[in-house]
Amino acid sequence: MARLTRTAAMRPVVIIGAGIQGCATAFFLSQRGQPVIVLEKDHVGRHASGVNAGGVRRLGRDIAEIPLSVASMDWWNQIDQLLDIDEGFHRQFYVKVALDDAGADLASRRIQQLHRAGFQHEIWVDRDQLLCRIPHLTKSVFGGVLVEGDGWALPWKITRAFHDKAAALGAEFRTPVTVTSIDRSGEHWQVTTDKGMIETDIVVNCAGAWGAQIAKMTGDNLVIEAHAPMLVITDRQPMFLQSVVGVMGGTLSFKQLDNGSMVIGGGQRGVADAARNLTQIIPAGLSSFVMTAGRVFPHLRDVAILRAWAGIEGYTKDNLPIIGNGSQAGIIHGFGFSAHGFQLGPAVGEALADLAMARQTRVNLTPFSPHRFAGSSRRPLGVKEAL
Amino acid sequence: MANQHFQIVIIGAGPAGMAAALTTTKAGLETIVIDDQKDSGGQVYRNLQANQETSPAYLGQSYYDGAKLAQSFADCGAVYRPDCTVWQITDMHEVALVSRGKAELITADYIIIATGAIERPMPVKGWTLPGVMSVGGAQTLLKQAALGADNAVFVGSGPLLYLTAWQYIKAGLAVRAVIDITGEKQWRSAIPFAPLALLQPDMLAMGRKWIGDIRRNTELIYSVSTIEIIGQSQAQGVSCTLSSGDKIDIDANHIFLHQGVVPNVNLTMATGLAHQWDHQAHCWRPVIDVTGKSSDEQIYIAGDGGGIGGAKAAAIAGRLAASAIVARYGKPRFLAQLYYKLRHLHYLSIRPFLDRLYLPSADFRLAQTDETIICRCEAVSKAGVNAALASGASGPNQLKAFCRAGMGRCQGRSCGLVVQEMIASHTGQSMAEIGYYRLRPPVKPITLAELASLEGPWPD
Repeated sequence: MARLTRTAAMRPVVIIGAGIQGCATAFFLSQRGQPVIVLEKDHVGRHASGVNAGGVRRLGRDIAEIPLSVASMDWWNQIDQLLDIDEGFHRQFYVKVALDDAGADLASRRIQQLHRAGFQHEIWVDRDQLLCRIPHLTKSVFGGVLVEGDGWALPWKITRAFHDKAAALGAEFRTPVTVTSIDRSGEHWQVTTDKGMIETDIVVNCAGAWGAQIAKMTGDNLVIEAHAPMLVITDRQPMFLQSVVGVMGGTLSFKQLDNGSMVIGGGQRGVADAARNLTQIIPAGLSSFVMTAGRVFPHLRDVAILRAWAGIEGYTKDNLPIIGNGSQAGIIHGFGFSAHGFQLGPAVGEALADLAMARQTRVNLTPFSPHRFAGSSRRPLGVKEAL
Repeated sequence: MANQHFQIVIIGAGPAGMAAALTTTKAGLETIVIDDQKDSGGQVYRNLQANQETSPAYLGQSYYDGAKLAQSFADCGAVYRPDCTVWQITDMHEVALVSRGKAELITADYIIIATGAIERPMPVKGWTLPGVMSVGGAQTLLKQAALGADNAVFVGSGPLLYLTAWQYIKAGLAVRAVIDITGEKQWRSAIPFAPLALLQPDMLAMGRKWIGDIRRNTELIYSVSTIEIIGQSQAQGVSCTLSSGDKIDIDANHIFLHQGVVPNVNLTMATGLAHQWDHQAHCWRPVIDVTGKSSDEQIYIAGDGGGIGGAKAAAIAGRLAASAIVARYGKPRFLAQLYYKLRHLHYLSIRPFLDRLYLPSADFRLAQTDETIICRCEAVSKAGVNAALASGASGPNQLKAFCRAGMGRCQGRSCGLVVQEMIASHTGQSMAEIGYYRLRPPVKPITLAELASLEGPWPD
């Protein structure tokens, strides 16, 4: 209780980074009456949080991540009330289709693996059922693994909504402000920025692809790599899809927005230059996942692509996020989501707020401990997501 | 499939691209010219070879002046690839293009971007109605298909407006009126540069002739303070207020708008080259040295894409860039370069005068009424952009997320400058501080099957 009293003093918690994790953390802390200052070097949702594919899925997650994802889905299902927005979450279903024997085989192994771990949310749907639900799918589909109630959201809209709601509840957002050092000063931390210094007891590092840089300022040596997963958006087409579609054993995420445009992503990486905030599109990579989209929806041959883009994201060695207390008291990390952190955002915000207020978290965060990389660099076998 | 490689890749076969190819091929460099048109000539010499057969006089001598260059280009030995869409240039100097439904990557030692100009957007109320098009569009129809419309009204300012109205008149089409938005203020700021412009007496004489012929053949309306296009589902007329306060309504089903041209920066910006705000011409231009070399050592920009100079200046700029590249292969051409530099300066001597005279006033650069559409692709009105600004969008890229302006097919070509200036007047920042949309490949839309063709044929 002593720690809680100290934290609850009026010195604001400093959150670094105004992506979805930082904004959601600011929201939960503000909701609980805890003063918050959010420092953002660019603007709200500028990088991966604002420009990702917007998938809101439990499907296909690393088993270690499923409890957190499931907890987050509780928030997604009430996101409109939570943030005072309309149509924040498009609740549909998410399916990874099997296009060949190998895909079908992967699917059955995946489902067995989940059952052994006690999860029932992913189900196998055969070809006929699938074609009935998505008539435009390629007729050569074998079936697919599906999660009811997964869907998509507009990433910028949600990130911005967490920002707006947090700000309305009193959170202070300072942009553009760049953190230059974080130093211990007696009992407190001094966060030095290009626009002055802030004293705080708690620093929450939600700096995404720049998270390792911030961690280093606090003495934590956490390695992430910056990458830039690429996406394309198409011209508007008549509505034909009310679900999000991926591919077993391949990389694709495919959805149709309300205005008829389709967003197609697929894990193919462009060039990320985190130091200069720049990304570069690689034509061959685009071509590869657009071809996969063609195998799933051959009728889209002549649809025009309007734009390709890539957001800068931090990837950890094991592709699981870093969420938890740093090695020094008062430092909390939440970054390195490795391109699947958007759906986790609400639950991570809640968990980071719990950590900041020294409360018990709803979900066990052990798999995401910043200290897991200290000893062996490899994770236990069997949890690596290959599907 | 291995990439094709050329020593020189030239993008665009207007005067700059054609002239550059003459110099590089003469120096023995393997050159490919990639063009989005069906025939060389660019916009200014569009469809020249076909038109030469009948040589309609109404297109004017300045058009046929391009014949010699076009013929030399056809004979110069460069590989010419018409009908291609260049959609990206990578850091590795791969030029990504689509031709006949297939994507290709062509690598180069040097790239010359000669993609010319686009018309400055003119967001007046009703400019999205059927029956309204840009003057450039009207001229394209005249050159490409000998198509024109009787009783059209031309609205705006700038050489292309007068030339096209003149061509219309010479073609025997009835021009209902020309409404000239050039204000007294522009005259006052341009006059000090008139002596310099006298170095281009031919150009000045040509302009005088166009305007004189227009004055004799149709109504020329000056001193205009507001313009509005009337009509519900189709343009039915133009309504304008004079600075005297009088209102004039003119019936017309065809209205052609134009208020100058600006460098087409979509490809150069998407390529990540450095750009600067040009205060005089009120537009973005790539940062280039006197030979056209951009912030990327391997990429040169020639012609109007590097700064508006017109067809003759463009051809010299093409020569200049090409000879600078030839020099980098160890074949210096000091005298030729000096000559091109001087000629280029000479042709540009009229620009300070023209840029000031025909820079539209803020009344016409920005929309005059709240309901005027700013972003045509996403149908975002002036009020919509202002609402986004009021709710905290602080730059063009954030504004995209707030209201979708600039997110459509044209990648901001028809709204970018307007949106940027609206932000400037909202925040009080300079245009240079605000910057432009971050532009993304594909610079022009390509289809899914075209993009996928780098991998193979589209699945059935």
